Amino acid sequence: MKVTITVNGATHTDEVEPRTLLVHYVRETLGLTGTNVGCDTSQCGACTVLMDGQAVKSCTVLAAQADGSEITTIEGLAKNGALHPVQQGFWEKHGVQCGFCTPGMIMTAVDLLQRNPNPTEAEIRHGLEGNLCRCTGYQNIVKAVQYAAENMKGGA
Amino acid sequence: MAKYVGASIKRKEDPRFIQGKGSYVANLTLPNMAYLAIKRSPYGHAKIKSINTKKAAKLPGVIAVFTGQDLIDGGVGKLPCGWNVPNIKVPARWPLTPDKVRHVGDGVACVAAESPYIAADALDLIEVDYEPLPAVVDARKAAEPGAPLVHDDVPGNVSYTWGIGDKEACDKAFAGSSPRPWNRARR
Repeated sequence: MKVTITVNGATHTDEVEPRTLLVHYVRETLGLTGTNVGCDTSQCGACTVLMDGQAVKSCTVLAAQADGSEITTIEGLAKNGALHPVQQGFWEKHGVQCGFCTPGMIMTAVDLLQRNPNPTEAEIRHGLEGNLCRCTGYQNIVKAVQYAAENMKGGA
Repeated sequence: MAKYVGASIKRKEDPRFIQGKGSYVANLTLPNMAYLAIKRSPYGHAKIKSINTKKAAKLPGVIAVFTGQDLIDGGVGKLPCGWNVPNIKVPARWPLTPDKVRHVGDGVACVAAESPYIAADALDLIEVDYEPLPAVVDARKAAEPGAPLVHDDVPGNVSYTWGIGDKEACDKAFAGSSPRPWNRARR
């Protein structure tokens, strides 16, 4: 079946099997491997992308369901070579170790801050519950999101 | 050197990770690469009575199908144990188990195919006849008499008992303390 999906601003039309997951479409058909597959159970969130502005786990969305929608992946965040404040925060606050969870964490954080630009620490931790990290213990990831929230306040 | 001591330094690895440019194994593509899928046991403990891989092998795009026994027949050896404890019992551990499964997820067969989707579809065509056995899933219960044997040649399911330090002094020190859950594990 044909799907037409806009990813990071570019519109693609492709033939896919009905069972094709959005994450596999993005990774294999489009070659955007920044989005990761980390589990079989929709728990880890490494596959998180924005679909029409909302964070979704792309392993649990069929490409067919994304027909006609706008997807933003980690590759689409930086604008004109400038890192998004959330990306910058992960760098400044050492929120990265192996980096496998990072794209998913960043996309979830972007959605979180869109909906709640001034989150408390508890709200950040709650908002990231769908993203698992095996390396960092989450402390610096939370600091990264707080850094981003602070830097996005001035209308950046 | 002085400018690094005590300074906060950003990692040089981070730029590629925060932009989705990491070279994780799943991101590698090689010319003509094949993909492996593994058939795994849904049972915690069961005898493998038979495995039929003929239908899977015929699926277009499948390169090869192997059972645990196929690997042994092909000369693939056991997984080595590198742990050097006196009197350690090391049962045979094969890359794919030929006789029985010992945990949910224990691998019994594998498929190499031209795409990961074909490999996954081929798994569905592998027919495994299991005879479920009673399973023990608690470490302490596994060491009790009468517990099902995980490996038929390791009595009591204990691989080794390793003592380190001064037992008498330890027992004396614990004798005075009030019982706490971690005391049991420490001893």
